[in-house]
Amino acid sequence: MKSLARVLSLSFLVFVAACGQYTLVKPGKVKVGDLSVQSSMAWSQLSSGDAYIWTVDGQFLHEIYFVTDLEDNEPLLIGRGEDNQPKFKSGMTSIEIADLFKNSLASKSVRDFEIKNLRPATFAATEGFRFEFDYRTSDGVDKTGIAIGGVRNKKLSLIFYHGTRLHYFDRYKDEVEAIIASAKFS
Amino acid sequence: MVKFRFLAPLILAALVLSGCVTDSPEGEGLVASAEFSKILDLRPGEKPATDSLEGGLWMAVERIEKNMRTSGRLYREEALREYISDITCRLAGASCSDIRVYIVHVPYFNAGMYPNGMMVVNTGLLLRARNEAQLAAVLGHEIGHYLRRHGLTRFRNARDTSNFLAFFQIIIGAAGVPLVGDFAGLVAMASLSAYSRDDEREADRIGLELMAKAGYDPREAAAIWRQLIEEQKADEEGRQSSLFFASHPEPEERVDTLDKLATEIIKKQGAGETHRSRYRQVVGPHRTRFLRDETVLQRYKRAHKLMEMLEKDGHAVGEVQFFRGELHRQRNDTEKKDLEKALEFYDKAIGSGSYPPQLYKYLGLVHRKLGNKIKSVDALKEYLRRAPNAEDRLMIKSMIDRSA
Repeated sequence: MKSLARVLSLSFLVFVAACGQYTLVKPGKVKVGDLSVQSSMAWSQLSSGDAYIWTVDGQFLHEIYFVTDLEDNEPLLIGRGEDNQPKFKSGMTSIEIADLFKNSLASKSVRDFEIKNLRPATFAATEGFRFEFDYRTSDGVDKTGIAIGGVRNKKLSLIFYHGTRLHYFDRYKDEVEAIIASAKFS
Repeated sequence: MVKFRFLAPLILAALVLSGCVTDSPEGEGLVASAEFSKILDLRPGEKPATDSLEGGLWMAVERIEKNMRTSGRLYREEALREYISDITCRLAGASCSDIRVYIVHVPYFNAGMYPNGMMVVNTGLLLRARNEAQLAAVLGHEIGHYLRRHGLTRFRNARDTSNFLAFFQIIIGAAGVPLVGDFAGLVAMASLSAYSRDDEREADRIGLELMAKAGYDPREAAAIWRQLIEEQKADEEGRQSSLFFASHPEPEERVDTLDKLATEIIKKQGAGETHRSRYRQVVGPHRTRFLRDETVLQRYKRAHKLMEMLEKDGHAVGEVQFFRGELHRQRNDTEKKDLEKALEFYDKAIGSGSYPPQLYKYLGLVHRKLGNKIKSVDALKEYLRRAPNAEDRLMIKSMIDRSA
């Protein structure tokens, strides 16, 4: 029972960490960790540590996920089982960061996860990378996404946006592209 | 997005999961003489009355099975599933059509069976079994639990204990509190709710008898446990998978018992087959994926031990050596020793053949980190030559151009 209690309490902590309270993000210039971005619409925000999640219609349908100032040996995503999650290493190349991204998301209940067209890109005025990705959720829903990021002062910053291929991804894609284009290190 | 599910179904699932190949210590008094006909408590085609406790249990499990059919964790490879179903049928005889096999993409060693005939096999088990007989040993053990209705016994015992009631009250009290759903977690939790020693002993014995009856070498049952013990001993972190050793402290005694029992069976019926080449032929094409899953877990020492054993086993050695290199590259200690070791293993893999084309990509990255520019560019070019349509080709080309 002792071990079982440990499993349960860990699960509960994970729930608390991942689910906190939504706050309103108003249109305009917004500080997100060490980044600042410009948004022309309002979003609901969840935050925990270096991670910020924005959504309008709900996380299951679509979300923007900001990873900011991620340091050596930290997991990419907040949420359950961080000890078992692959960790960021400060010497990682863009290719290894894309692997980290894939392994982090694939450790969730998704299948057929594919990264597409990994390429160099400018992110917040620094040299970085960009790629697209597709996967299917445990409930059989097809999702698609984009990710862009870079390493500055040995710390990783990355923005990814994903949503249902049907409707929700496209609905906010242009706004998200504008947010990405406006990203600056503050 | 983090995925949420409700806690109560998870706990129910944990309790009704009829089998996890995770326990059973010593078994004095084990005999191999029980007749197959005597152990068929659950008859072929039999279904419990819907108004019985068992009927209710089956209904609950059917809901779990319905979710399983669309689960993102399902490893959707029909030929592999059919292969395991065929082995199950050889073991289960007349109950064959009552058992449905689901492979789940979970890298930890485990298999489990629900009271209604839903058999769940982890990909982590398929990576670790060296031959068909070893897989059959695990499946046979699970079928033993199923035929003897051990899941029902466990459910009834759990329901009747004060621990469960207190536990259930917590769940009710927390109604609406979601839990991050995860099949590995579910199986881990199920393994905490252990069978009695007698049930495990019985499942081991039935498993061996079914194996032998189906023509498999019963010595492979102890062999797979021996391999697992060796791997477990190398585990520096003691995480996750050690849950199944936590409540069963004497796996070595179990191995001894299985060995003795196998010797008795062989005296009567002969040794049987391992069907090693058939296993390699069917599971082999999936192994690259399973090995990659293992490296992602970051259990470096344990994974090295596993891969060292797989290397000795001799199947597609280059592939295993590549992933041993990958373990070093991914750990990448501060003194760069890991990168040097990664290069050693990549070189070995190239010498052995049968490695994936990505080897050259990672070889290029390691050389780059070690400051070997020319070797890095050569390796990255070789990667592009072998995988010209790779999704990361633009990034690779950019790295080559910058080095030039």
